[in-house]
Amino acid sequence: MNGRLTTCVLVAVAALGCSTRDTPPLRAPDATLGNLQVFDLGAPAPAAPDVGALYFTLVNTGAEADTLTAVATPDGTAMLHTVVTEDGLSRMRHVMAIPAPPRDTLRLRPGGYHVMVSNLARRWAVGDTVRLTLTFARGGRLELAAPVRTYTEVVERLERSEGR
Amino acid sequence: MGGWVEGRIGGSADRRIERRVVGHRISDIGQRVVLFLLLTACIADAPPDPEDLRGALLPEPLVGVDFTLTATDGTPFDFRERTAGNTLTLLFFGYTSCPDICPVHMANLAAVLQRLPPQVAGGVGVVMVTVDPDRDTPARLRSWLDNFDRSFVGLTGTLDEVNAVMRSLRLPPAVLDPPAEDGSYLVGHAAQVLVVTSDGLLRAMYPSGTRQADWAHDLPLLVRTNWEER
Repeated sequence: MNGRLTTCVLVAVAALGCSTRDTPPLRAPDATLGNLQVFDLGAPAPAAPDVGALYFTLVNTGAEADTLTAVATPDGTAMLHTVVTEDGLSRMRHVMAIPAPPRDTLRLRPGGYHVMVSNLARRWAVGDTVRLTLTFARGGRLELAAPVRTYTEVVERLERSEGR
Repeated sequence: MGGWVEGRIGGSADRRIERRVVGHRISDIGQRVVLFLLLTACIADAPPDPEDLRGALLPEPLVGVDFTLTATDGTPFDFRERTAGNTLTLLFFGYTSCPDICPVHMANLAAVLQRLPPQVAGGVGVVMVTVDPDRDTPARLRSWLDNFDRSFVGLTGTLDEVNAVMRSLRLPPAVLDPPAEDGSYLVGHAAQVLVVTSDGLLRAMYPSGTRQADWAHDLPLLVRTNWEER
């Protein structure tokens, strides 16, 4: 009896050990709108007094494609941007929409798609919350509260989420 | 070793304190330090295999990282002379109204240098040259850099002067985009961090998107390389 119990416990511990190693921890999304889930939402505390950025990971769990068509914040002028590098020159480009393909992950991360906010009405400090509205072609509007963190923390969260 | 630690331009107060603390603890962890130094001495001469680096090592070093621009305190800054005491200088061209690439590079470097052992971090200087001198006043540039690390050097010049420096490093000159309705504008610029060794040679480049883990992996390798043998 004792022997069998010990074996069961050992097997259970081994299985637990495997599952914690092999499966990424389940995370609750920061916000959900139908089949769209937002993770890793954050705004770095800007180093400049008047310009900031917001990043997040968007998972479309549905079978239908959607499109992020607009961003807005009461704190300034928000625009969707991407970074394009041609002939060694990196430039930010204003984009009108970002596709969110079905069963896929869209990453707004440094050096790629991001929300740029210019003409900041207040300087974001660590601990502040930034109100952000995303508008999707199918899903409609999603109101978000983005925590302001240090650049390092925002970048580390995004990198962890990419598993690198 | 003390030579390049002292020679490092404007080492941050925090890291100086860290170095002193480490100094006091040497007697306690003497054995480990001796072991570390022995290990370092054994591998100090091995140049890095490009395959081992996450950044791009230039096949041939580029000669002539030699220019003078103006530091944020208004004094002339002779890059070659003022960085000769660093084992490595990380040189970047960017601007403070840049919300994405520029602050992320600076934040990543600051975070990694804070965490690396002082033997590595103490030999590394960071210099940022603005490609937007009209908006980046010395005060604005200083305040922006201080968000990351007070030891980071900020340089300004006219856009023509800065572009001439970039051309000398075979980088494309910066391009100012047409201003928006509110007068704000974006600047296109080479987004890589350049690695310059104490002999003034450009050795490697790190593109936008380089992660903290990449820096933490490569900087110790780059610092302990005997570049004269390459």
